Amino acid sequence: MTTEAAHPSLAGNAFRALLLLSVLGVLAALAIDQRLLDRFTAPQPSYEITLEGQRFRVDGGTAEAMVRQASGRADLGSARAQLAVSELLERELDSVFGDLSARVPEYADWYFSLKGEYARLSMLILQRIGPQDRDYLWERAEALIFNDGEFADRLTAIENLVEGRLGVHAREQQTAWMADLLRLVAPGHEAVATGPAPVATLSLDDLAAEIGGHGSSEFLTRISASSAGAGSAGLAAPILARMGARPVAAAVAGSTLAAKGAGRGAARAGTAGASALGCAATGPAALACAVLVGGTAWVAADWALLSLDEWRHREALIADWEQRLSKLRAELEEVLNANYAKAIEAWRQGMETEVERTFSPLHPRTSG
Amino acid sequence: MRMGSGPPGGGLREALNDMLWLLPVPFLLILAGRFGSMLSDHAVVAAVVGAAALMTAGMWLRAVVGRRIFLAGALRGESPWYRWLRGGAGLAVVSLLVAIPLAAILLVTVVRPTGPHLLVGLVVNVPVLVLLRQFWARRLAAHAVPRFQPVLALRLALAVNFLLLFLVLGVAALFQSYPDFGALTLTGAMLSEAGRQQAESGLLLGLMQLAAAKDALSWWLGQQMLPGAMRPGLQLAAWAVLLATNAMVIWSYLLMCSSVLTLLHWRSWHPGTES
Repeated sequence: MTTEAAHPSLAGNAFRALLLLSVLGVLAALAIDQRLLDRFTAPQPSYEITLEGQRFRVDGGTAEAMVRQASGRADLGSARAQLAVSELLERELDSVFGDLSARVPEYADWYFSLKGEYARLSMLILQRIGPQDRDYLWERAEALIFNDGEFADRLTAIENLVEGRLGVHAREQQTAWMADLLRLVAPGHEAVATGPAPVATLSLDDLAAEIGGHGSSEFLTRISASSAGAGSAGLAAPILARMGARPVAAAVAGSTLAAKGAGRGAARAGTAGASALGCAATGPAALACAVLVGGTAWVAADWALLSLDEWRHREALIADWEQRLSKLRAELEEVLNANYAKAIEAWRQGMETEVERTFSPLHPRTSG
Repeated sequence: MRMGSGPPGGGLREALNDMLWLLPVPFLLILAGRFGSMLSDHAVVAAVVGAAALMTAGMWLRAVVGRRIFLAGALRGESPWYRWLRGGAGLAVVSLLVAIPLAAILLVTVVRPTGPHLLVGLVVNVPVLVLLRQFWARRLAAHAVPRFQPVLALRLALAVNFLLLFLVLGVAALFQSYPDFGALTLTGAMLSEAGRQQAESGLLLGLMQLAAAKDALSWWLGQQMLPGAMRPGLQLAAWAVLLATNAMVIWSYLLMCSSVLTLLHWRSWHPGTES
């Protein structure tokens, strides 16, 4: 015998010996516990699925796939809902605050007008005397920039839009989930009268309701109640109040504005006094002349100074309001997003809980 | 190919091949043990007849060799009696008739719920039988007539293997736990044990109940410990029944294994037509 002939013989014998030992081991294991055979031969336990009056018979693997599918749908659906809400809020707040920004020049026009000047002075005097304790400047800003109640109405409209969008989204999720479910159960899994009895009956109606937003987490109801209660406007109110608490005049130029006001008063008084002096030659009509000329000179000086003031500070006032609106918008968007994220997370947890509850017969807890 | 005529290492290769070919036998018995109770009457009959047919192959060849050995010593080679008596269909039919009850006993035994010791013993016995046959083939090489030597080696291997397996399973049976029939009458014990049997096939169920009643009889007799309550002769008879049944089960299994080996080596083991 040659060495070349011996090697294949040795390899063949070694292979056969290994194969023999392996099969003997398997057979010994099967002989000790014949239930091992059941893994390959015993019929898989079946489950009856009921959904909207339809009944399906599925095996354990399909039921497990349903669990994964429903959990995935819960995660995906909530993530998409959050994204949709964020995008919608951003777009709508862009529109609202674009309109607010467009009204700031109108407010500046009023602010630097004689009417505005004297109204402010009047309110300042009234505030000093006592009967007027409101912030007149903020009231005018609310009226001119926020268009009185329109801002709150538009926030409520945004909330209604979000509610509608989430309702549509939940229905889409429910439809997609049911379509996926039918793809899983349809081929050959229709309920049959024959065959072994199902291990358990799983009703998916509650889960379908939860995915559709009408389950135990009451997702859409909560969102809807929030809209009905003008929730966004309510959330915006404290932010607006904080913004209103800051003196509007101080925003324009801070301490320089106060100095400017004092200087303007001195200039007006000087101009009016100088003009009234010219009436001394008018004799008995001097007083009336002085009042008329002095008043006219006062107003003219005031108008000139206001024009100068507007020329110097209008852009600063507008920029200050843009900054305030930008901050307001950021805070509002953050608060609204957080509010909706909380509701959506509760929805997701509701779906997860419902998935776990619905499919709990798949994983019976062992007692003891 | 006669034993010992192959290349060096051929004996090991042949032994390994034989062992691998024998593995389906215990595997089929394990399957029968697990799923036999689900079989219908027809499937039970088919299983018994199939197992009996397999056993017949080995039994018939061994019977033929035995007959030839007798004829070689008793008759002239040119005698027409030699040709008439050398063994053919008649011996095959007799073998089949013997094999059918043995196959039924084996099937009923593995289907009935027993401990794992029997099936484990059958699995482990596969290499033992082949190694014993190899051993006797070598030992007989210098003594036996070449054309009878393989089957003679198989016969001796079967005999030794039977004793070994019988001993091992007998010892294992001593450590098994059995139902306590001490408080039951013999009839109650037999009915109780027979009632525990379950099978789809009525035929198989009947056979299983018979076997269960026989076991109950043995166990009940073995548990009558009170002096004077039972004559020792009856106890001995009871144990003899139990052991005889075990012996038939072991012999049935060994016949199946030997038949597989016989079919594998039919051409080389058959003594041929020469006188």
